[in-house]
Amino acid sequence: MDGERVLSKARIVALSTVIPEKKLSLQELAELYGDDYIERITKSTGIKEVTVAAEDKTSADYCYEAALKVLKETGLSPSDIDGLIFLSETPDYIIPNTAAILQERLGLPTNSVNFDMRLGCAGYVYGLFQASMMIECGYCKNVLFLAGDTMSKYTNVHDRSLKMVLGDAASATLISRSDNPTPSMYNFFVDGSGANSIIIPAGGCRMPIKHGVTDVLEYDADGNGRTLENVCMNGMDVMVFAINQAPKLINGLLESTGWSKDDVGLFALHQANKIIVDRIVKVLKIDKDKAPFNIEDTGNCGFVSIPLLLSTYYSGINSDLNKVIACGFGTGLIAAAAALDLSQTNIIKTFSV
Amino acid sequence: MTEQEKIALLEETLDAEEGSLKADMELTEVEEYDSMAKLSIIVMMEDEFGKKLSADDVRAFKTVGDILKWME
Repeated sequence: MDGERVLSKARIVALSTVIPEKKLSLQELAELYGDDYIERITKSTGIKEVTVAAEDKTSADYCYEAALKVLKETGLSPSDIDGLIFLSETPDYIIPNTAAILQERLGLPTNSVNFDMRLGCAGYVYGLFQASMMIECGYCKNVLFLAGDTMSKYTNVHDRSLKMVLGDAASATLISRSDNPTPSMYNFFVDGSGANSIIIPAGGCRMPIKHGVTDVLEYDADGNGRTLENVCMNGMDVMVFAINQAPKLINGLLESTGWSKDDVGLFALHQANKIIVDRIVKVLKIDKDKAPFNIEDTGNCGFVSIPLLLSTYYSGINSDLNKVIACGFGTGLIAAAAALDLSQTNIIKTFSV
Repeated sequence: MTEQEKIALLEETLDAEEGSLKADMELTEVEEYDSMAKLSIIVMMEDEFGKKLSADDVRAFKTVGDILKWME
């Protein structure tokens, strides 16, 4: 990989993924939603249980655990880290940014670069891009990229379509300057006309929280109940977007890297649900074994689904993962794909806290 | 494909019981017709009939018959 638009100085050194100990088995929802419904949804989504963050734990808490794991496994000290990115749609506060809180908690240098990113399912790829650029420009040596979401805190129990699908998880990825770098390339797509497709309408400046207005439970045509303060997804819009755009981005990236589909050892697709993953595999005409689906016992963990897939199936060093395509798509509507070399990456096995 | 075959394929797609769907049925009466079912219809329509449905096309479906009309 060389030429324009190649980030060539960074190396993805290690990554870890953490899931909450608590899981919600979809069977537990049978009383609320009915057995038939549970069975049907499980069949089409491929999901049997979803991870649920503890009431007193936030995305940042799980990211903290994932970060400690990466530091421990790599032997790096917090003082070695000169950049911290915290990616989340469920930060601790509106103000201040959560990355600063994590800087203090992890004991990172006070002169380190420190900021939050807010993006949906394409976020992991964006975070890798951002971290790699911080290395590429020469400013940072070791960037800790933390990504975590606890969407369970924003889903309404009466929203069957989301309660049975979304899971909570967090990851930490260390991207460092290296004499032995692993170059990467990216491909992006954004269509803001789909902003309403996945949205928490209230709570920002556009629609402030108002008791008796934004907290009123309403049901949609599919029988899913939620308030304006909950996450609301129009699954169909997102599905159409995903199955159309993800293959295009991936094909574009194959073209710019010069990789053939056979060259690629792993297509790490955002694990939205079984129908979507199966569909993308079929449209791309790729080997199903190269695009695994692994969210049966976690649910769709948003942008963490990509590191979760890696930590579940590929823990250790995988010398054959020198050509990996990662692709995330969702909220925005935004999609992003990356061509990566993970052959030297220490992928730490998924753990729970 | 005969109308009967189309209905059978739709029942299979929706995971609905054999013989449970009729062309004049309102989709609001079809218990299985939820968001995941709509995704399955989008996929089925492209695979079986080479038609790319938009989300708006699917939203316009009111009866089982509206879906059957696309299945050719």
